Amino acid sequence: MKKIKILLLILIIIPLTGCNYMELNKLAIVSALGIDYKDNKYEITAQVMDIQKTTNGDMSQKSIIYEAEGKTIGKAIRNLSEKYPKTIYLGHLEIIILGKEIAEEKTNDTFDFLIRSPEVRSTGNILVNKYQSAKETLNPKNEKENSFATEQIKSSLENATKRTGTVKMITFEEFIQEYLQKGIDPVIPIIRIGKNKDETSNTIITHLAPLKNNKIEKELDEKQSIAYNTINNNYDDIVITPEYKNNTIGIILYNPKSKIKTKIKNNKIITNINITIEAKANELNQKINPNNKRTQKELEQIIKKELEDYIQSLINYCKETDSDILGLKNIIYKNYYKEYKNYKNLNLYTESNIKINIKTKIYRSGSINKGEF
Amino acid sequence: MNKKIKSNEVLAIEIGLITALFPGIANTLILNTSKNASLLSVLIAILIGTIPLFMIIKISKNIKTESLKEYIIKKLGILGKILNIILITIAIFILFINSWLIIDFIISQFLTRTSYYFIAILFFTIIAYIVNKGIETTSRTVFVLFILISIIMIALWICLIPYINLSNLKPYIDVTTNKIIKSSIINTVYITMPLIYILDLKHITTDKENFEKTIVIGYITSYLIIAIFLFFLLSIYGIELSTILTYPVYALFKKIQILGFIERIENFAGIQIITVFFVQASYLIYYIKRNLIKNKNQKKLTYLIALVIPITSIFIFKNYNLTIVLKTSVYIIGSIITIITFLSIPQKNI
Amino acid sequence: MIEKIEQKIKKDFKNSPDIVFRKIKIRNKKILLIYNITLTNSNNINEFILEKLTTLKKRITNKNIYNHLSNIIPENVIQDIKDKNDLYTKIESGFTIVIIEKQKPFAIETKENLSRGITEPLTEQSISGPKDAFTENYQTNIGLIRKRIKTNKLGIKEKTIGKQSKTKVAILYMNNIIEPNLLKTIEEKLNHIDIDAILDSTYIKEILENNQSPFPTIITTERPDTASISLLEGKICILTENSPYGLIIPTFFSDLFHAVEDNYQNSINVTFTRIIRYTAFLIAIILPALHVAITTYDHEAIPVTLLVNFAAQREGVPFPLIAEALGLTLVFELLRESDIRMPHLSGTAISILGAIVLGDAAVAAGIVSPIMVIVIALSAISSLMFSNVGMVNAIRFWRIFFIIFAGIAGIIGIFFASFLLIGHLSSLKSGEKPYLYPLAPFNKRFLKEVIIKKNIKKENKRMPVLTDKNYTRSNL
Repeated sequence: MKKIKILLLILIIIPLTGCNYMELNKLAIVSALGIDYKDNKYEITAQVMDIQKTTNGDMSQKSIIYEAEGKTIGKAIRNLSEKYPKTIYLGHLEIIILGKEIAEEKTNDTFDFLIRSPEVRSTGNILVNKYQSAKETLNPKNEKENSFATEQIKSSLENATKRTGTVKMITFEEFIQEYLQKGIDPVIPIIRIGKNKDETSNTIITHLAPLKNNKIEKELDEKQSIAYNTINNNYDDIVITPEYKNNTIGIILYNPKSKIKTKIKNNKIITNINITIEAKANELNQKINPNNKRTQKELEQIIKKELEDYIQSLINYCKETDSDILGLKNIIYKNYYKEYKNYKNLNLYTESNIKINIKTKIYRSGSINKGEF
Repeated sequence: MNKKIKSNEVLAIEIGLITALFPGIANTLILNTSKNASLLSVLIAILIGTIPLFMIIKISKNIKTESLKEYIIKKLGILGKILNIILITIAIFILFINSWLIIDFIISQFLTRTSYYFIAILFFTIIAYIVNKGIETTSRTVFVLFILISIIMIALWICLIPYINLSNLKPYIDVTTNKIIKSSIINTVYITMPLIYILDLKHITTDKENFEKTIVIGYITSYLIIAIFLFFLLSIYGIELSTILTYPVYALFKKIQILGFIERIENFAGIQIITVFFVQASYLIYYIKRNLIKNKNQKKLTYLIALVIPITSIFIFKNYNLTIVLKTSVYIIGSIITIITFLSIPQKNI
Repeated sequence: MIEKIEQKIKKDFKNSPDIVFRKIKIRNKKILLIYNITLTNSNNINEFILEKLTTLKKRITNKNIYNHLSNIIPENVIQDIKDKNDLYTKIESGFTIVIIEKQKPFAIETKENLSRGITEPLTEQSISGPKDAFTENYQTNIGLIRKRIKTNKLGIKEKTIGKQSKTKVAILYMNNIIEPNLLKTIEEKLNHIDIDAILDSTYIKEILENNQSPFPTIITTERPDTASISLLEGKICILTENSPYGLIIPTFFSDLFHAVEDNYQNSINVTFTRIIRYTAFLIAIILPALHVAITTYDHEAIPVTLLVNFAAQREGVPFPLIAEALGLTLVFELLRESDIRMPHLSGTAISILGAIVLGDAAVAAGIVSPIMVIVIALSAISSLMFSNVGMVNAIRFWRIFFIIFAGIAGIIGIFFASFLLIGHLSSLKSGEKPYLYPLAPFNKRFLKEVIIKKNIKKENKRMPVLTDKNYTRSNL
């Protein structure tokens, strides 16, 4: 009798498979999501990975573009299911691109849906296109099936972060974490469509821009981006090209170790930006001997001056646009919690005394030990 | 009784019982009350908590071979019967709120469209089946599960170390001292509350002389686990993100990325939270069943208790807004501390 | 008088053709020999009984010929007959009854050896180590163990169980090691058996195993060296007449992961193999359920490229995933069962056919997806790694259970099912000892020994759960 009861229970449970049962081939796996804002409505462009199995067993991979619109982002994503056969699945989202209109006025409103919904994976990378709409970025030729290569964008973002020092790869969750902190304006990398020489378009990732007051500010240029990344230790090694004796040389900078220290003395703020960085000769197009002590000292001076130029340019940018990219107010909040309210509304780049201390050492010269060319 | 359990298993039950309330409400309460100073409040809580700990050890030394119910009745007479009923009510209350919290966790993070009642029935039938087989089986299961999750826990902690950013811990103290002390008291209440239920296990332990040592070791280990989790939360996520996320401890595991391809393990890491709840639920159901009625061998009563409590809790939480109950649950549970004080006062008459 | 006895016995045996009645006359005394021709060895009767009887000249008139013969006949057993039932039992056991006129009848044992010789073990083969196995002969089996443990502390208790079969059952134990309570419990259980016939040791195994569980709590073995090792650890070995399998009680869960090779190989290699076996157990039970859960409920748990790959393979397959998983498991079990039944000669063609049918053709026809075939095949191969058939069957049962739970609730279902599995294993008892011994009542030293095999010089203690008398094995 007991066995019959157990058997009945199991037989009842089996058809009650939880309502989450979703077969794999009914999922539309979204890899890139583009968000635009037009005429009081959000437009969503989703790039979905589609695999077709041809008759002889090979698999061809394509990406299809789905588009829909709605009053909020969540509603727009639901509206996607009206038009397309498969269920939208956002658990593997890799890239989120915000378009031009959102960058101009509505950036903050996109965040709530993406972090609240448990189905959206918040470790995708976030990028902003300040010049064109997200729809154009994902689909420049306006085709139904295209090859906006999500993987390639992601890996070129990673490479650029580590090797050129002009962008910063940031996931959505980390971005929200920086956004919520007091006294720092987070930065987002910019992506846009550029034109090649033969009139075809390709997507380029350019530099960074900060988010302030619900809009994206002016883009940083190359020098300012390198300064930002050096101070935040974001790259592995980059190349800079200072001038030495009327010739351009290439220097590799690696292992940046930087810290910003702030002190408040007699109601005056003293900020010290301390950078320790190692350098290596990349290209010395002149007849010098880098192992010579005096040449080394001169090269180090050149590098220091170059980096100081970059950082000064960044400081000027912050003074102009009143945005706190380096997070000086955040450091005061963390170290001088009680006096933070006095400085909350000031622009610390003009108010405080910023001193830049760079320590660099060049000691490696590559495979040849003398410059002969 | 010829049921015997060893002190290792008592240790596992104790740690599971104490840490089970933390992923649900205790972490959120503590983080919201004493923001960055939560670590400091944990330290103060260890010091404050030694007072109830000593009282419990004193009570435990007086219990020789009787169960907790008999000891309370022996010591305090009629008042003891009332105290027993209060203890059972508080156990039912803890199970009530925690079963809602864990089912909500499972549904909101894993199976978003399934019915609440279905998962509750599935889970609690399994718990009742295992509890029905006796306290020895339950304690051995708890011990094996505990070894498994401690290996997983330590491995995950080691993998989280590269993401620590110590500057997120500053400013160290950003709330008033009142709030720090309030959060320490909350911490102490949640941790020392289960210790009194553990005393019921003393009369079936084989090596009774190690019992007090086991209680102290369990106390210290639970504090360590909770402090390490709070430390990771604050230093990796920072205080702002931790307070807006609903299950921050679970979201913490999303960050782990090893060797480039082991990267989405938060689904498997969720077993830690479910296991500590399993330990708490199975032990409390056993306690309620033993102390509720005289005839101790009713197998159907276990199923009754194990199914009625979560179903009513889901029903009540879905239809009425009971967040105020969650917030003031501290005060209800804190009344156990007064019970402990009562019991540890030595008797006036010989 | 002798004729009357003869008529009565013939009538009681219903004139059965294999009971032979020989009447001899020696020195004017009538002697009646009664024996069962299928069970007795006629050489024995000729040489020892008739020859010895004819050499007696005068003594045959003596009343105490029983005592005299028992002085002369050296080897065979001479026994007294107590009553009529005893007479019949003795005829059925291969004794020869000698009834001499006007004297007390007695019986002499003249049994025929009706079993195979000692051969290699058929189910537990090993590369190194001794290669003799138990046979159906009761005396041979006990002899094979005696010649390995040559001490008088090896105790044997014998019982006769079964109303019609009257099978002899022997309990072997080491006097100086074993816990007396264990012996008493098992003896009592055997005494309470009330059954028609014990035809094989598995009948006793089912009676002694009072748990309702697919996991075996008593191991059957056909190797005497395994039995001897268990005896020296403090366990009890039960041997049954007419059965080449001996039982070992109590068994622990870790013993199921132990193969015969482990005793005879290098200890580092054995440790490695054991770790592989534990992993194989986990793979065999959890892998299909994990696959079902990941592809239907928790799509987040695997990287994108793998997910896309699986999705592509599911295109065009008509069945839902759980049906595929359970269907393939069923087909694999059909293959396995038919492989055992098939006589040796036609076995190979059938298994090749099965493999081809399942592998390529089903995938090409679009009935199953290739990844499911790989997963089920991997899980099945891992489960066949265990030498104990009961373990393989238990893994099969729990694998299906896990697949069903994973189909109901995804990864959470796998967690629930593993709680159930651990709870089930913790509740089993083998001979009143806890099944999960070094893990559940925790013993650190033996937990390490179960996983890491120690060098023979360092393996010098016995498990304290089995013995409290004799801890140290040696003083090396």
